[in-house]
Amino acid sequence: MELTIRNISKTYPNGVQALKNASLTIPPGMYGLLGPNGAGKSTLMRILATLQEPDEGQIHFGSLDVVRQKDKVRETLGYLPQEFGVYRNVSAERLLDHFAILKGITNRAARTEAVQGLLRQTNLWEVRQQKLGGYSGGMRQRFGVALALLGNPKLLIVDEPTAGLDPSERVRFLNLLCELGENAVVILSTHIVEDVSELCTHMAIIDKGEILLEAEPLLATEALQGRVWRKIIDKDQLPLMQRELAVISTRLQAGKFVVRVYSERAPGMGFEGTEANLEDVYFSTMAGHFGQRRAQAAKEVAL
Amino acid sequence: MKLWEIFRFELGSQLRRVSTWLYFLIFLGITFAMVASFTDNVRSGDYLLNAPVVTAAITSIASLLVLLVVAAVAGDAATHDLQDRIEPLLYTSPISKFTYLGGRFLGALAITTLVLLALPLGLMLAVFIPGIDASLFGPFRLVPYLSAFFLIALPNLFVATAILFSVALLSRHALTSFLVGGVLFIMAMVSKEVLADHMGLWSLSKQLDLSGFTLVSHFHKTLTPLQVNTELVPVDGWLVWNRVLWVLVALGMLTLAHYRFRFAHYAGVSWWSRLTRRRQLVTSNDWTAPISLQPVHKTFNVNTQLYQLSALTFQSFRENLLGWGWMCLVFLAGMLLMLVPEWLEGSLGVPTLATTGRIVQTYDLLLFRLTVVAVLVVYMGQLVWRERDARMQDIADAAPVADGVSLLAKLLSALLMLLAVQTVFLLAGLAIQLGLGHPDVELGLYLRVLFGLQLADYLLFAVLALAVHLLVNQKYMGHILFFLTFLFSVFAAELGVGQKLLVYNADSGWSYSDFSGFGLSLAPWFWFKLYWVGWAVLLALVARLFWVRGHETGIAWRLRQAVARPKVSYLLLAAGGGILIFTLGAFVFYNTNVLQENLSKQELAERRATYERLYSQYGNTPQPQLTATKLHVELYPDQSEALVRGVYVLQNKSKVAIDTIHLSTASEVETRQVTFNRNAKAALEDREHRHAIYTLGQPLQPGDSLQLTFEVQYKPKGFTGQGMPQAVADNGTFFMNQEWLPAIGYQPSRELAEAGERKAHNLPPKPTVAPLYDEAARLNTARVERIRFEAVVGTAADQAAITTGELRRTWTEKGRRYFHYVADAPIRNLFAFFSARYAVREASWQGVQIQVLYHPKHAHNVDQLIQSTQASLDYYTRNFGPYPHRQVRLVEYPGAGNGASAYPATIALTENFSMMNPKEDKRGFDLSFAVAAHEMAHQWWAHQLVPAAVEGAALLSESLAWYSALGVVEAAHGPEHLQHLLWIMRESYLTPRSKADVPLLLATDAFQAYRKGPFAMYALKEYLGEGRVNSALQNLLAKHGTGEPPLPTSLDLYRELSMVTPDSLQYLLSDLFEKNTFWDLQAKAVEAEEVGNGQWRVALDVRAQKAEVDTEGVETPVPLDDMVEVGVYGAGKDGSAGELLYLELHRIRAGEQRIYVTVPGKPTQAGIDPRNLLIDLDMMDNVREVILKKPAAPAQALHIRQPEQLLHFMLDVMF
Repeated sequence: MELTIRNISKTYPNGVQALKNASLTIPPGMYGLLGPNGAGKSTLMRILATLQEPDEGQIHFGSLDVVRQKDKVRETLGYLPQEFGVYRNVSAERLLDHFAILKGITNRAARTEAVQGLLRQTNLWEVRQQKLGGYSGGMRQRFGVALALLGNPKLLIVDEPTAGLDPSERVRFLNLLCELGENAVVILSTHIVEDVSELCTHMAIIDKGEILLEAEPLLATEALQGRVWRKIIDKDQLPLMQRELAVISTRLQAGKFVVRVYSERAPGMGFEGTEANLEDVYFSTMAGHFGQRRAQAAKEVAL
Repeated sequence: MKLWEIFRFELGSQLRRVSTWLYFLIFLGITFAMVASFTDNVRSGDYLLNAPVVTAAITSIASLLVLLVVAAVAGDAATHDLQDRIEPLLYTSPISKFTYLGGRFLGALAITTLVLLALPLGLMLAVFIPGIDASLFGPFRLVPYLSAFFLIALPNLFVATAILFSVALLSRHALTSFLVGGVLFIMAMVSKEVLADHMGLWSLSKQLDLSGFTLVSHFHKTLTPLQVNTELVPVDGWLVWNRVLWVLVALGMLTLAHYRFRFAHYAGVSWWSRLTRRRQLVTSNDWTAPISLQPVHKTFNVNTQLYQLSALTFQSFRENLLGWGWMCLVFLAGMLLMLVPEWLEGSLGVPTLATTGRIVQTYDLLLFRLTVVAVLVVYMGQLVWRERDARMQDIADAAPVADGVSLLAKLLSALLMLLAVQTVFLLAGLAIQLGLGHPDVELGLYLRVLFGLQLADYLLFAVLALAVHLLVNQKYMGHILFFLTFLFSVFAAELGVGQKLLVYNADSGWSYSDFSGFGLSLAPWFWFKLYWVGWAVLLALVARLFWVRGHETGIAWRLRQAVARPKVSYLLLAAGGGILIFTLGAFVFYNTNVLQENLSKQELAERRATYERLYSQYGNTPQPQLTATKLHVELYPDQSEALVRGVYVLQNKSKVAIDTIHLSTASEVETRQVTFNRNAKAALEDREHRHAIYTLGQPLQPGDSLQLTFEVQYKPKGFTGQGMPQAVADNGTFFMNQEWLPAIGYQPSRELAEAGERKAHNLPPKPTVAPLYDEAARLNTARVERIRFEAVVGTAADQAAITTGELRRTWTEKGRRYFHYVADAPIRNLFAFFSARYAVREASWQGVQIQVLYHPKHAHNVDQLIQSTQASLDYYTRNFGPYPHRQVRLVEYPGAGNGASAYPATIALTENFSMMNPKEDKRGFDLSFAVAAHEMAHQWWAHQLVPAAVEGAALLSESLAWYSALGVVEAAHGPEHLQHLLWIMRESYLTPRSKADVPLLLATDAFQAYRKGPFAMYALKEYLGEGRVNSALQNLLAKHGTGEPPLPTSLDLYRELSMVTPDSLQYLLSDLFEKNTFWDLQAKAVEAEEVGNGQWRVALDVRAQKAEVDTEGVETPVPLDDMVEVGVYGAGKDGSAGELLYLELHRIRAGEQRIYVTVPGKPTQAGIDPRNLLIDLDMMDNVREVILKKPAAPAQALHIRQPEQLLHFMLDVMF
């Protein structure tokens, strides 16, 4: 089953245009949605999670119309919002069981099995009897993960899931997602490039409501090979570099700046070629050297 | 400075909210509505709508209603930092607790003050509102508004805001302020309705009532007509103490909140969690489970939806019940256990049988309904906001649960809560019944009322609450709007909306009686409710269409969604609801407005005015007088129908020939086939005004008689907004002749009486009651004429039918039982008919047959009633004159009220009267016995001595009847029993009342007729002796007991009393009856000293004053040189006055004086007028404890007492 998004736009009552004519095709497997804060990721995720409606455009999940057939979509949906709370006076096990019923697992034995399995998977087994109100941030986040994974959704939407997790939890969670992603569409929104590069077979970069790039991470990185150059400079050289060259990123390393620039040819000035990574893809796309923005810029020039 | 900034920020953020301004507008509207609802009171009380007391009353009620807003604003101010999760930033700022809390609190106070400013503004602007009669306003004065605002509104607001802010802060939940706000509201209601109105504890209530309404109400009752439009609520001790008490409570709460509040992360350390300390909440970091996701089987079908429905229902119910609901249930249970037994008490606090029927009827009181509805709306708010409050809405909304399932789950959850609430009512009822020793529990009745009638009522409100919450989509605004809708539904009639089809969830009410159960009241109730079910379906549909899900919550978007995608099922539902509304609405309307004539108050008044305009010209036209009535009555209890055929014998007792006869027919029945035994024809038949004029072919010559025959059919068509007429019931039929049978001549009783209304309809002014000196009125015998009476009554085979007269014969014919009654002596033209499945107990007294007919379950008082009847016959025949009949019947019937009424040879007892259980009364008197004696006395005072319908008539009937009954009580039970009864009767003096009044000779109101009059007669008896007073009454009856005009007035009584009063006490007679006199008698100090031989010399320092008060309230001190009793008592049991040592009349002058008496025993109490014979509003200070003088240190004893007294005073005042 494939998720296809066709020309969706969304403008909020206050005039903010969160999505502009966005189109995406999301195959089964892990799909990363990269973008800075305020890019429209969450809006897109909420639309996919049936919590909002686009002003125009269509979304299909397999044969289902996500906008019109919300009820059907929800039957196979898992959603982990960026921010959420819990009923404080209920235990994890009880609430998970409650949601298992809501998600259509009506057989008691099946439900118990699913709930207990998830509690173990998310390492909440020991505290399953405790009230959710006493959970720490990380535990709460894991509980959210369990809720999202409940009922093995065919469409799983996770909005910035790794934010509150410690490194081992993060790895564990991403593994779980991978496991699920073997026969489901998993959409992961994040602004952490590693999340995508480590896991996702497909990705898109979104900014200011527009899809800037839709690609497979490996191919995109491949396409950038030979065009990324790197140099360690002093702080006072930076303005010059930014003026003269297409700077992708600057990073501090032991008090000096490591500058990476995009260039078809060697830029000279002591830059040396380096292996492109997904971060370069992201930043050069954002900067307009790559993907949709570049194509648009080219069109504008042609006009 | 920082305080100012926090205050300013809080104020600014609240001012930017639409809700703040909506609150303001709502309060403006409420103020106008309240002013409008006062219009009727003001008109009948003849004062102004902007009288200071009205302003103060509205202010105190409004400051109770504003609790809703205060709860929202203060709760929000105390918790919004937590809600917004900004508290880590604020708590780490360099501000002090005081600054932070102070700023927040003052901000909330400023906002609530702003909202409440709508009140004085609305009060001042009300004069410009169309629909409110501007002529009811006097000239504008600013001071009353300022006084009400600063003395009542502002302190209330401060107290409410402080308390609700503190509890929300302490509990960290805004919900708490709503719950505590509800408790404050109920406390204020209880202190006014229960403590003051019901139990008469005005002082306590004035102290406890946060709203100040009891204070204002008390003040209003003591105002004289002269003061009512000008006097401001006085700043006296009561007001100050009340304000100080509550401000102290508020400051205490604020201090506590300040003390307990911490600028720290809240770790949930409550006493409960400390008790149930658990191991630390961490998970180990070893990830043992292999990564794998089991395949799960999901199904989505109807079964799943049912599963989801029950999961959502029970989960939300459990959460709310454990979270806060249980507190409401406990509070409710406590309230019921405290209040219901109070409410069950009969007149004068006499214990009653706690039957299930009576308990479930108290459950329909507004106070309890209000509590349930308040819990319901808060619960519904919690349900609607459940996911959003927990910030789980995204996860929950993305779950595959149909909107319809969620909606239904919320309704079902509310149903569960209501079931829990009703179970509390049930258990409380059982506990009360068992506690009061009434093991006869009717479980079925509990279930039918609690889980049938009331549950349906509350569920309809639940649907409304759901729809309101979803439409408004703002929690607190939802609460407020729903609550206002509920209050509107309760007070719609007062606000001028008489049509019940326009008031959500209005019904015709239900009633319950042991006789006929719910009788005919259920069917109309059911039709009304079914009509509202139609609306509820539409409301539920609205709730479904405007369901809040996902992130699109704007009303405009939801509206577009609602209309964008019509579904067949919705259209069908809407059609179904619409069909219910239209068919049932039409059906109810047809019943209430077409079959029944549903006249509004204005239309009714207009009709009465027209009647007067058209026919008052015949008021003085000579009419023949009724001299005999012969009836054949057929009652059909199972069909609620009756047919009466009657023959009147009319005699021309005037001095002129009569050629026209005016007949007034009754509104409840159809009168037809009116014929005369001589040539006559109808000149006019005005059905609307129920007046017919017949012209006689041959005028009726003076002294001649004619016969009039008629037929009256009672067959109620349809029902009214108040239900079905129930005169003829399945079991327990009761009606009076005046309600059904035609009357001769123009009926002045149908005229509009109220001065304001008469003016509004351009009718000439007329006194409400004819003046005492109206000689023409004394000649009018209409409706009190003496007649010969005979009736055959037929009823169902298993019932007994009763009316006045000797039962000549009874027989069965065609499966019906017939009774033939013939009055053995002429009776006053007043009689009633009863029919029910009665139990009978018989007795006799010197050949007079005594029968008590009662409901088989209500047998507990029958013996006392018989004893009372026998004692009465004995006392009255000895003292006043013979009893004219050979039988007397005491008959129980299911009727409103809790009293009894007297008909010739028949006494009607209401069911509630029979419920009284004086055997359980610990206060040492038997009210049933006394009331029965009172009704028996009416066989002399009212039925033999028929007073003229002028001022003072009540003195001749009710006061003399009570005076006589007191004599019977004393003769049968002894003087001590009588003193107990009198003491309780005197408690009515404690009810606040203005001194301005007419003298007793002009008595018209109930207080004078039933209390002041009997007390005056009793005082006279104690001064003159029983023999002298009774001989005066005997003379009065002998001279005026014929029933022939001119009828006697209070002046005739006064004349007779005057003749038996010695010259030395003529002043007393005059003070008691001719003037409105108040004594002020007080024992200031009483000392005693043993003088040897067991003799004690008692010195009483007394103070005495006497004043006359006129009808406007002007008080004039008058010289005092009166004979007043001085009494000394020995030690009694447990502190009460014991053995009488001395009781003599002393001559007392005005001012302070010392009296010495010597008594033969150790005195404990002594005082002036110890038996409270003279009218003294401060009865308690007449007697004082005696201080025994010890020669050693007499002065010291005095000193020790004073602080103790002060302490007592403080306790009295505060609690």
